[in-house]
Amino acid sequence: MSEIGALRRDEIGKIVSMTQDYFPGSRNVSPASIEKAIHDLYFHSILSETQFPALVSRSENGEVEGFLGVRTSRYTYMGRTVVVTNCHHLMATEPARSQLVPMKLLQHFLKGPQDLSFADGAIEATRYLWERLGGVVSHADSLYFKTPLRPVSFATRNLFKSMRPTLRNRINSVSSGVDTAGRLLSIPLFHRKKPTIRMEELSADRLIEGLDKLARNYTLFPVYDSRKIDDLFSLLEHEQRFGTLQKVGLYSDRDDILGWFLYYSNKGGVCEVIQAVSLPGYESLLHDAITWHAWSRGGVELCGRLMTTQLKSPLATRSICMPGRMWTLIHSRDCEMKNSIHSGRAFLTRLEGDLWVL
Amino acid sequence: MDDPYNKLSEIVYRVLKVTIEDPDLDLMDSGILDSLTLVQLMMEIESAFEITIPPELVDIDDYRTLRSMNRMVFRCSPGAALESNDSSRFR
Repeated sequence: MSEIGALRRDEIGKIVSMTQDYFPGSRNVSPASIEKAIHDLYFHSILSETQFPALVSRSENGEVEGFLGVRTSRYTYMGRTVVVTNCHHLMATEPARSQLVPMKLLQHFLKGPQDLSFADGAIEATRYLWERLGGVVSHADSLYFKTPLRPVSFATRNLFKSMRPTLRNRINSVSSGVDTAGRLLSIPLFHRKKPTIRMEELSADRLIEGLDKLARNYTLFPVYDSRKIDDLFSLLEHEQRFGTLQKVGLYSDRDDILGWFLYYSNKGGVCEVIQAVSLPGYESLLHDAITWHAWSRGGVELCGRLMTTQLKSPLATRSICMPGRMWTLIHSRDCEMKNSIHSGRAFLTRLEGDLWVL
Repeated sequence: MDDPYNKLSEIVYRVLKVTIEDPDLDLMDSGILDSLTLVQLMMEIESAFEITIPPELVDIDDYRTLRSMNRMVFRCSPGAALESNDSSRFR
């Protein structure tokens, strides 16, 4: 009979090998880096708490056969502080799957004392299990958007994905040339004007200032302080797999913060957004600023997840939106808390999101 | 009313594509079940027996054998008159 318990330091090695076996994307990362990431994240991070540990399932002989990563944060909800746990990285060995270890791990996690659980970026199979265990999908938070920045390169890249690499590279070179020519000729489709708004590197203090201004619009809102934001920035900057972290604040002439964005820009021109937020009324400005910023750094496409409150913003309306690529799953015994997420009264931060973890 | 054992066997066949003769055969130990097929099995059983198992009462071990599934169905539908059938042989 298997048993579920907290991840121990001496089990990290096994989690590393399972990660490389079951998450093909991690095979490009050295085992030592994954080991360090697991160690830092679950034993030395602002996101780990002993009361809400990462979970492992152990077989009768004590072997690790399943894993579920857990991160913890605090939110305010109707004036009180609540515990929000975010689970990720569910995996089990082949023999453990027939012992229903994935289901048992999820069930164990969801029965915990936290006020709200969520899984961001979950695959279809996890959604299936999650819903059977009483969780629901936040459909609006699950929308994935893509904004073409260099239209010809974007189109050919998406059209010829399955083509042989040599041929695909040639086509990409040609399409990149067309985009460059369009830019040099200042053809509107190929050229983006620099917004007049002041853009500067985002600091932890300025982000806190912006979050404080936003908080009143939400009933469920993350609790941050400068130290925690600094630590999160360090974690985000440490992660190099998705490219270089860009973090930018948008400021008025009077130096008031009006919005901010964080994204990774990689060498292939994919700019993956972690968080892009503005104060109410500045949504177009945010869109213009982030698309120009990404475009001017060679971006081909800007992509990421939307928040429920952004469904009518230019980030959604001027992009291609795709539902169901990944799911945002939520679970709470408090129905009103779930409603606040569905109705856009929750600010589900993605600063601690799945994108960069492990 | 159908024999619930037969009904459960049919559901298991539909979902898992295996015929189970032994009501005590452990579907987990024999590697027949996984988490996804378990959810399918749960939904099929709920639909066929017109029962609802609240998420907080889901006990994965209930789906280990045909016998334990039958016990669970009986428990969740006290008025379903399962006892009037020949289900006692595997309860």
